[in-house]
This record gives sequence, C-alpha cells and structure tokens, in this order.
Amino acid sequence: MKRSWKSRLGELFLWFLVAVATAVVMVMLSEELLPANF
Amino acid sequence: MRAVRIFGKFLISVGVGVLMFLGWTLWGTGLYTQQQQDELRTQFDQLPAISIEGDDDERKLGPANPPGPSDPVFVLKMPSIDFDQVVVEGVGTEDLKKGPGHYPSCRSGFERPLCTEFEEVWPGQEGRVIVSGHRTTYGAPFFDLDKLKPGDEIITQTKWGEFTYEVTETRIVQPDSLAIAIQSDAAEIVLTTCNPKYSAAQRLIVFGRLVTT
Repeated sequence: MKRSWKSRLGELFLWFLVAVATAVVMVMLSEELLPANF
Repeated sequence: MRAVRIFGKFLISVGVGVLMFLGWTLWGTGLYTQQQQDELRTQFDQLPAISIEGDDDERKLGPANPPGPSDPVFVLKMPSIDFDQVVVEGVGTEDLKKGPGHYPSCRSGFERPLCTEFEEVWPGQEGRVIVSGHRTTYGAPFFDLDKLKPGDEIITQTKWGEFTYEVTETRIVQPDSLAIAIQSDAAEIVLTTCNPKYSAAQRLIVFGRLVTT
C-alpha cells in the first residue's frame, strides 16, 4: 500500500525530533561531565 | 523486517543528533561567546578609569569594588597568537561561556572549589593572576595557547593601567595537579586550559612574569 506524503512527512518530523532530543541530551551530558574550561 | 527498518531509521536519527551536537559544541557555542564578548567589550569600555597616582606604596591596583560573577575585569592580549579578549570574573561554567575567567577569591557569588582562599591577585600586583579559558568549545579562546614561547608578551589592559608579562614556562599537568594553586611572591600571570586540543585528559599551564607596568 502506498503511503501518503503527509504520512511520510509526519514520520520524517518524528525522526527529526529524535535527532534533536539526542543532541539536547548530549549537550546536557557534556556540560555535566566535561570540565568548565574544555 | 519492519522492526529492523524502524531500528535502522532510529540509528540514523541518533547519528544526525550526534552531528548536531558536534556542530553546536565546536561552532555554535562560539557564536554565543562572540556575542557575549561584544557586549563585555562595550561594558568594559564604559567602566571608569582608576587613578593610581601617588607613591608606589599607595598604589591601589585592582578594581574599585569587587566585581561580581561574569563581570568584565580586564582585556587580555597575546600578540604572538593574535589573541584579544575581555576576561570575566569567575571560572565557573557560566563565566567561561562568555570568555576567559579570572580566578576569584572566595566571597559572595563564588564558591569553592572555583575560588581561592588566598587574597585575589589583579594584574600589576605581586602574586599570581590566574586566568582559565576554553580550549575546544565556546570560541576556544585558548586554542593556540600551546604556541606561546618563552619571551612572548602577555598584555593585560585594566582600568588602573596596562601591565605586560613575558612567558617564562609552559607545563602540562594532570587535571588534579595543584601546580597553579600555590601562590607566589613574584608578580606572575598563569593561564590554564585543557590539553591536548579536543581532550580534557590534562591541563596546559603557561606562566608569565611581570616585566613592565
């Protein structure tokens, strides 16, 4: 069954959110774990 | 099969997230620091000059009032590595996001271990002026600190005068080293940052001695 472009765009947006969440978590972790003058 | 496809897409998304993180860490943070430096430069220029006229014994070298966290305190220049930035008060995470930080004494706004129990030392005074800065992120002000050689100038422009130091020595120490915590009777400047580049495994320390006031 062929998916609509809206469905594909929605999925792309979902994966984009996963990427942004990954980046945010890594920024938060790096600020916690790395020394202040890294 | 569908689960494998979803897992593959998940891994690609996480990979894109890691690239976003690297982009922010290596370049994005620098944009924030540059904006902060522009504001700090304006604030520093607007600070009133402090007169140090009179006998040498009566000279009062230092700010009129103890600066608060992240306040601009002096301009640091190292011509040999094309460095010119405003130094802020404090070496906490938020302070160093704005520029190199001057190690403060433990008083209101500054808590151990990010402050010293010794009396605070300002450019021109006897003792160690300690400045810490980023090597990789937030504009990486001390990226080229390893290129300083003995004899290179370290210039501090303050509101009470200009003081020039000369690089005497460079050391690489472990992160828990107390090499900079020891105070000195001589008028010195100590610059510290992470080492090697893109790593926090060691610390790079550059020592300079006051040559002209």
